[in-house]
Amino acid sequence: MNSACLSDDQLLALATGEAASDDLLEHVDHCAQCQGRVSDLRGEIADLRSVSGGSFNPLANTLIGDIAGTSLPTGTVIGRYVVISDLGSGGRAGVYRV
Amino acid sequence: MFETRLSLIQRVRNNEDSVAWEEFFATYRPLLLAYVRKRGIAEHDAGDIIQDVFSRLVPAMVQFEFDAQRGRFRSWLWRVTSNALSDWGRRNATRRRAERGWGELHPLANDGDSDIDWINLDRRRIMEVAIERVRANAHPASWACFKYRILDRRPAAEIASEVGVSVNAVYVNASRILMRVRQECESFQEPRSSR
Repeated sequence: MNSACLSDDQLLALATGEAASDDLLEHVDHCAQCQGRVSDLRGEIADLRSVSGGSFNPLANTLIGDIAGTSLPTGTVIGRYVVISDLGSGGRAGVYRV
Repeated sequence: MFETRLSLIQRVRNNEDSVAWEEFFATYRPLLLAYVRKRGIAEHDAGDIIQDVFSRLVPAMVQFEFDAQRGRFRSWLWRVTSNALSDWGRRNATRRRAERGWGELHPLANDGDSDIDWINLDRRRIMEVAIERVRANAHPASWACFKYRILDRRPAAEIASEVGVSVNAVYVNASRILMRVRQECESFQEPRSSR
């Protein structure tokens, strides 16, 4: 990397398709390293966007039990753990203290 | 500074730590559910299978030795999950054959490192957890710059005016948050097996 290479925030602007001065674009046109970094950033951003849409269950899941049929009755033994209370307040959500 | 996969597993192994267990479940349950669903299991059955996986995991985790020579935790978790899936498939084989002509549910791969679905879902789950961890600890204005610009694709000028910073600062903030997300992801990746 040389002193003319783009800073992280300048690269980010470029990778997201915004603002870059002619000077910066001119540099990137001739700098394989900056081109590589922009390309990496684009891939990384695409990945982050793809998970931010919520492909998994909400992160708030706590232990077992937001799916119908997975309620664990009090006293259920999981290994050396015992479900001693259902902290959930009705509905399908069950939060268990083990 | 960062919770790593190794440190979380270590805390779970010292198993009086119920906070660690809750974090472990919250981290891995969505991954297991996503994987089981990806295998085409219906919602109700998926819940049963996940429950079975955890009933195997809880006692097994206490004895789990983190040994890079024997493979990664990710692979070990895949094995436990695959066993639960196979057993479930066997239990349901008769009924399933009668209903849909399906037989046992065989693993898609021989190990977790060659099951592309598993690897991808694990990677995506790590990113999701990383984003959430950074969000929870970030300055709200910095987080807003990252989220609005990077995740929501809003124009930087609009964000700048809304947050009350310069356009340049939007990118500086977004870039710093992105760096932290990257660090969180890296801290949760497992090193390659040493041999």
